[in-house]
Amino acid sequence: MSSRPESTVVPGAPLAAPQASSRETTRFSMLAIDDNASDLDVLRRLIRKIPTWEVELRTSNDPIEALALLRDRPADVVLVDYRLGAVNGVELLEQARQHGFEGAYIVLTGQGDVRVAAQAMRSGASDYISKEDLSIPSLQRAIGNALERSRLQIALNEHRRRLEWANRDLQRRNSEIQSFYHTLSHELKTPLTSAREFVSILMEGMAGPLTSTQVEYLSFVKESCDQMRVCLNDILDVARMETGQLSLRPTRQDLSALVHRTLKQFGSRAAEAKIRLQEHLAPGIPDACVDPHRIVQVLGNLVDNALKFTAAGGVVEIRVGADGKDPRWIRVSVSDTGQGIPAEHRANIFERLYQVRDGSEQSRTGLGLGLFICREIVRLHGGEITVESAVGKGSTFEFTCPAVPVEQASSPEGKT
Amino acid sequence: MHKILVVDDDKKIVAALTLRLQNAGYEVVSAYDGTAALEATSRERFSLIVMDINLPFTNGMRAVRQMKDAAGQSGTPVIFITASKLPSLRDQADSLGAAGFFEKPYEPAEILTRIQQLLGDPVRS
Repeated sequence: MSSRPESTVVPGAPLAAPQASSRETTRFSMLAIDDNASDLDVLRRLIRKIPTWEVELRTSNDPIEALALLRDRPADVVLVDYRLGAVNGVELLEQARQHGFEGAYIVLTGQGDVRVAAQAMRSGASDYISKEDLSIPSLQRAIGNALERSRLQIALNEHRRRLEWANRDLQRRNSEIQSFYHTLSHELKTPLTSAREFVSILMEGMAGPLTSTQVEYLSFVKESCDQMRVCLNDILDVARMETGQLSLRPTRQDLSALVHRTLKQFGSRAAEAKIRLQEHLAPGIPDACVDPHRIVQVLGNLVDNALKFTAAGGVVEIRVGADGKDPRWIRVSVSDTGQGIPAEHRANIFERLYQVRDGSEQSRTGLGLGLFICREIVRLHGGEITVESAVGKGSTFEFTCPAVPVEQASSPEGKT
Repeated sequence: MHKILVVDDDKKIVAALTLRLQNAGYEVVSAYDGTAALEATSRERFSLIVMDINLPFTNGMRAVRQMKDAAGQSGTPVIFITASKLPSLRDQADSLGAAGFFEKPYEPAEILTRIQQLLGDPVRS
């Protein structure tokens, strides 16, 4: 840009009559970068003539100095000459962006330099003005748009920063919760282990003979230790589920064997409570692809509940069978002849911490995590769990497990 | 007589296991941290090691890795006991060739059965 007289640069500019829409004073800061001092003078004079603008204008004819000025104090808008000697204006503003400049910039291009203009716009310039067209209206239009864009961009960046910060904070909290639960569980289980150990040692008579009443009382202590262990494991599982860190180790499993293993744990308790514990295994059940510990945990929770809510003389049954309609699934159900679950509770019993509080002794025990854990484990396997119940008659919980696909089922590989 | 090293930083657990193992006819040496366990295995040979994982100074896994590197102890069966539920621990124990892995609170009869499987009846050996 040569130092032309102003009058030729702004022919017929409405100096005293700014656009009606921009009557309000617009305050902003601006940095103009041009290696030609007289061009900067022209620009300065033009800008001063816009009555509705109150501009804090800084100018620089040196790219390095310009970067320093921006670092020192940001500008709402930068007007940069494309040709700056060693660097071009777009490259310079890219550097400024890397140093944290968030405002908008407008590139001044030479006459008819469409290619430069296009490159500038692609690189993120808000607008371009050909030096030939430099005038009060072209400056008003380009800078007005740039300011609006700058305002939006800064708001957007701020918003994104807040979200990123919130996200990092959540992740940090999540891992803090995780490690807290691990520590909690570890610290509680250690004393629980020695308490249970010495109770067992006493019960086994290793510290001298005991009366049958003493053995009975100690068995209560041992039972309480076991309840505590279940609670601790449940708390830890739920913490893992909520942070998405509970992972399965599915292997090829014979569900009948898992059912046997589960029922063995409950045999004596069922006998004591005078409840018949039965299993019905349909012939030809395909192997399942499940995490055996987790499925035993689901079965255990369901059988535990069934025994808890069934009166003496009742029956608890586990059934395993193929899904009649879909060979990809195996159905497992646990039914009881207990008190049943009222309809208004059925939809919610799988929710975390939901407990049916009906005042009965059974309903007051536990943390309300068991069925939530069952549902999450079944879902992690891709299956689903449902309940059917009739008050006074009993309940049936049924869940699906993925069957080993047929082509794999017939492969010669042994069970894992 | 088979000699078993029991390592746990909870002295009560060491006491309980010692009592059970002695009652079952084994000789027991105890240690309360990983470094002491390494000292014990450098001094004498054991038929089996029961090792807690979360231990002061040198954790149970690292102690076993060092023992396996040292001559003379590489074939000694190790049973891990831990109060931690980190699933990766089981894998690490497997990769160290663990002879057993029991979560606390463990069922003492299960540990004893496993030891008897590994060492045979202490009375006859």
